[in-house]
Amino acid sequence: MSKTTIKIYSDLMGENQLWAGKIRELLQKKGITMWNFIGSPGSGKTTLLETMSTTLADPVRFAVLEGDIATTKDAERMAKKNIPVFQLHTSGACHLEAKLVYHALNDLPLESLDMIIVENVGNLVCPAEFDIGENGKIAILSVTEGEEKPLKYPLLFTEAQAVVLTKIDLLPHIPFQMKLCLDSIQKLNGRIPIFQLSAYKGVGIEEWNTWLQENKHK
Amino acid sequence: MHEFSICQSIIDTVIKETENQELDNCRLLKVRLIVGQLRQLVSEYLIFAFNVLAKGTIAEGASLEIKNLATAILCLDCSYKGETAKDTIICPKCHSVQVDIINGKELLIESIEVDDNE
Repeated sequence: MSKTTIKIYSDLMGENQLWAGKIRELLQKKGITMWNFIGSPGSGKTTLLETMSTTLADPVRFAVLEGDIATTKDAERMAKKNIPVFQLHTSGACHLEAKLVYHALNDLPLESLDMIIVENVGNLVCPAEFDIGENGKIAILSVTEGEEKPLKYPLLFTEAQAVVLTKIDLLPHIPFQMKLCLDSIQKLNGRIPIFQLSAYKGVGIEEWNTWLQENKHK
Repeated sequence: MHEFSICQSIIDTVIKETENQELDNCRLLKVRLIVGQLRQLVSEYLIFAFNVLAKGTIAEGASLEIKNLATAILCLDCSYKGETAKDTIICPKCHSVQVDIINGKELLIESIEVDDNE
């Protein structure tokens, strides 16, 4: 028996990266910024988008790609707000991948958009692993989920370009320790902004919208 | 997570590579992976998935060797290069948060070992 080692150095996410590259190329050509909203089910991603539709849509023309396992409920909510939207069904997958997103982009009116928000499948784990050609991942965490969540889900918070803490109107009613949460995010990713807001009560939205406007890459 | 789909990619890559290098008559002994610490993958599940998916392919009977790479940073302030304290991505030397992650996100097949039957 004669053993031979053959070096391969093959990236196992290689195929996804190819499609993510195609997305980046397309969006750069069209001058569009894309953000990937990642958060638990019920963290407030869709409600935040609804609020953005009435507060941001005028200066910034944006569309939404909704990623869900089933139903078109989130897309319907966007459509009611007159936001161009396309619903992606993952057929059971718990995250979106670049190939699916690339094909969905062709169903959006790209010539008349400044920004696309992908609302990923509700999940703090798997979506963080997959590059879908976005300008950045936005970690959406509601204060009702607990201040220890960033440390429990380090990949997302390490990868994110910004964190949005939602539902702050509920703070007087829950034992959420804000300082602990902010410290744990900063221990994982000290360079990113953290926004605290309540989409439901319209608190803190302006700062978030301002950041989105300032971070449009053209 | 996704150990099964990762292992399917491993098997597909190994089949392609052995065909490209005309090694399809050789016995595959080992597949060596590098998995960064930040990747949310469990070695035990990877090995299980690999063994299931390898059946009937050139990879059947081969062992999956996993090298876990600890998360490491480059500090942009003091140029420290190395690991960080547990649950932090901060420079352990000067405590700066201005750091780039240089290791920890890897997910690749480093090499394969074959028995060329010579």
